[in-house]
Order: sequence, then C-alpha cells, then structure tokens
Amino acid sequence: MIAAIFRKEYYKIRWPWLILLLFNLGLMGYIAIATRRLFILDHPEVVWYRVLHLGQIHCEAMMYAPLLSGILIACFQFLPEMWGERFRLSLHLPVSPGYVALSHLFVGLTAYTILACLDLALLSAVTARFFSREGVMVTLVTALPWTLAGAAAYLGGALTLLEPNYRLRAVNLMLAAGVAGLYLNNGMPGSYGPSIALLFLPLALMMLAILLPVLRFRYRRVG
Amino acid sequence: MEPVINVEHLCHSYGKRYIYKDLNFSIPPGKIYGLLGKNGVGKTTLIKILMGFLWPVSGRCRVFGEDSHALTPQTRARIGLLFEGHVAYEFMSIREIERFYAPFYPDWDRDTYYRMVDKLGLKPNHLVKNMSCGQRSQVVLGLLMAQQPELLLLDDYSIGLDAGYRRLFLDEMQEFLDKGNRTVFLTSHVIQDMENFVDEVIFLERGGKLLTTSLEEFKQEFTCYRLPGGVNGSGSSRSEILRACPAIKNIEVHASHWDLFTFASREDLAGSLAPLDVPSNRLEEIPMNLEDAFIGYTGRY
Repeated sequence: MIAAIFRKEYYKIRWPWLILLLFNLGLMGYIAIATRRLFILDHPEVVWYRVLHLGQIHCEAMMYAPLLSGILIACFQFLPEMWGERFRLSLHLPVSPGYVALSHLFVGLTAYTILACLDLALLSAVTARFFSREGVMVTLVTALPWTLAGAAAYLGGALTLLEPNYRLRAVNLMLAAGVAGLYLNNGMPGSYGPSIALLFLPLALMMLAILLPVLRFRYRRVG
Repeated sequence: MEPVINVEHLCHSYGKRYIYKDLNFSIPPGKIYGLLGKNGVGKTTLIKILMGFLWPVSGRCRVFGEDSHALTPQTRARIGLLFEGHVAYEFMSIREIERFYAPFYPDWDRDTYYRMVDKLGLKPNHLVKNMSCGQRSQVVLGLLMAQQPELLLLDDYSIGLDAGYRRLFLDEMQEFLDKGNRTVFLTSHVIQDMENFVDEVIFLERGGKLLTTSLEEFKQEFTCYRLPGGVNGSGSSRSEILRACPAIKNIEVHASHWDLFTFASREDLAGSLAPLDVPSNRLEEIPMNLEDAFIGYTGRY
C-alpha cells in the first residue's frame, strides 16, 4: 500500500522536486565559488580568523534555502490534494486515514531529507576543502538548524494546507512560522550545538499534530 | 435482508439553517436509487454524509451496517465513490492512475479498466488533466468498476457530460450492474436519464421532506391538470388554494393558465376545489414527461 502512495507522490512531485534539486545544487556551487573568493581576496589566516573566531558565516547564502525547499515541497505535494478536495480520493482508500496521512508525510519528508542531506554533504565537502575539521564541524552545526527549519516549514505547510477550517489554518500558519523561525534564530555560528537533539522534538510533535487536520478533513463536523 | 443504506432520524444543519430534520429512508441491496431534488435541498450534503466526509448533527446513517462516519477500511473497499465533477488525480496518466489504485483492492479488474479507457483512443501516458470532462468521466468510471464495489455512490455523474458521454456512462454502468448484486445510489440533474435506469426515486424537498417511489408509480399517479384562464372570478390566490387543498402538491401560475399538480384523481381534486369556487369543470389533464413531472413536483424555483 505504501508503495502505491509513494508512487502517486512520485508522479506528483518528481518534476518540481528535480527543479528544487537543481536549485540546491546551483546554490552549493555558488557557495563553493563565494568561499573560494574569500580566500582569493584575503590571506587564508585572515579568513580562518574571521570564520572560526569572529563568527563570520561563509555559507550564509544557504540559510533560507531549506526553508524555501520545505515550503515548496509542501505546496507541490498538498495543493493538488486540496484543490477540489482531491484528498478525499486518498482518504476513501481502504486504509486508515492516519496511515494515509503519515504515508504522505513520509514521502514528503523523504523528498526533503534527500535535498537537505545533499546540501549538508556538499557544504561539508566545500568547507573541508578550505577549512580545518573544526571549521567543518562549526559549519555543519550552524547549517543543521537551517535544514531543520526547512523540515518545520514542510510540516507546517502540511499542517496549514490540510486544515479544512480557515481560522485554524491561520493558527497553524502562525505556529509553523514560529517553529521554523526558532531554528533560524541563530546568533553565533554553532550556537545551537548543545541542543541539537532537542531541536528534533518540535518536528516530531508537528508530525503527530498533522493527524488532527486530516481527521477533521475526513470526518468534518459542520453545523 | 439488511439494507445497504439505512438513514434514521437524520438531522443536519449549516449554522442555524437546517437542511434536514428527521430524515428516514433505507435502500435494499441490488437496487438502483436516484435522489432527486432542486438545487440546495441537500443532495450533495446527504451524499457527503453517506460517504463519511460529513458528520451529521444527529441521527444515524449506516452503510453496510456501520456508521457512515466510522466505516472500516474493509467496508470502504466495498463502496465506490464518484465525487461531483468526476474528481480525479489529474497529475497522473491513464496508466499511472490505474497502477496507483490497483494495490488497494483485492478484486481489482484491470481488464475492465482498460476496456473502458481504450474506447477513448488515448495513449496510456495521456494525462488526466489534458482530458475533456467526458473523457475524464470514462477514466473515473473505469476505476470505479475495476474496484468491483458492491455499492456505488454517484454524486451528480452527469455534470459536464454531453448527451453521448452520458449515454456511454449509463450503458457502461448498466452492463456492470447486470453482472450481479450491486446497489447504486445516485444524484443527477438530468432527469430523463433516470427514466430507464433507476428502480426507485427519492424526491428530496427543502426541510428534508421526502417521497420514495418507483418511477412507474410516480408517472402513473402524479398528474397535471390545467386550468385555462386560471382561477378568474373565484378570488382565491395560489397560496389559499394550496392551503385549502392538501391534495394539490404544487401550482404553477402562467399568464394564460394554471397548472395544478396532484396525486389525487380528477374527482377528488374537483371536490376539494369546489368550496373555493374554482371552475373545476374546466380542468384538463396534461400529459407529462418525467422532467415535467419532476418540476411539477418540486416547483420551478
């Protein structure tokens, strides 16, 4: 069953996802060029000092890219479902609504995670080329919350789009913006390091919260 | 025999506006029922409740013995739903959409699906979004029939279809129903299509008043009597006559005549009109087709 849902989602988001993939690859290429440029314009010692001691972020261009990817994947995945309430077609399938909802989320999160992991892997490779191991670690700890912001944006987008009540939809949108903003409120590079594990908790809660709008959509009470 | 659909004391409202209060009916297996009514009487609402997408304010609505808003997946597998407008996943192609649905249904009949969509003469990679409404209806019907459901709930299957596709839809449906003990509950705005298709009709009126009858019975018993010149001289208004004569279901007032619609015989009608000084000796029976009778029953507006 999950293979069938996976297939449907693949048919739906394959092209937009490929465009996002190209966008992310392009962005990583830009970060590689920009980082190299830092070393052309200044002595390596100066760049290292600015990045490792003064907290300059050499990959700042990436900060909002995962957020954008998360929002777009949610839109590409759930707008076609909510247009004309086509999600009813999936919710009538002979499986539980929770299974349908979580399968859709699993597919969307997988699509997002591939992009996020690719971003982090390429960022590590670019950073390792110019900086020490310490520099790579700081960069990863800095960029990881950004990618979690993207996951929060994806889940928040799903939470908002699947909600049938427009008032609750506005509440969900604000909630999603608040949670995603939490991950982007990154004072110094690597400052989220000690609490990385805790940052996954809001995502797990958001994932479970998505069952509520789905059940409201499936068994709507009006009147 | 346990009814396939059983509605008991169903009550539903949107805010303070009640759509039904105490709606009751049941549908036995193996029958084709048409739900007829004017726009806004709650046909789609009733279908949504039956499909489990709307929770009624009160009352019970059971499908295969289970509450419609709490159907188990096994029961849902026995029900084929056609949503108003032939809703389908438009980003998929003819082949992809079949591959998506097939694993969910153990009795999936791939051949039936392809037999139906092959009539369209389209390639298997043709996207649903690039189809006309008629072509899409054929794909949706193919998916429904491949599922081999015991109950089909069809919400306004005729919307957007021209006469040819409507006929094709009904012919395919009839062929499918001939295979065995299948039950259909449908709504449509094209009354003539019902004539040779449904076994029974349910007329739904505002407020949830309903009449369940066979089409034959309805056509035989529901009559239109024309009163040339209306009720000139009697001084009675349309509403006064309707109040005084419960036997009259509806009166349509035209410039040159009044049409009185009733289940009563001419004698009974004349008898009930006599105290109102309505010239009942001028009543003439007017032959009606099903659409005329439907409009006579429900009113023009």
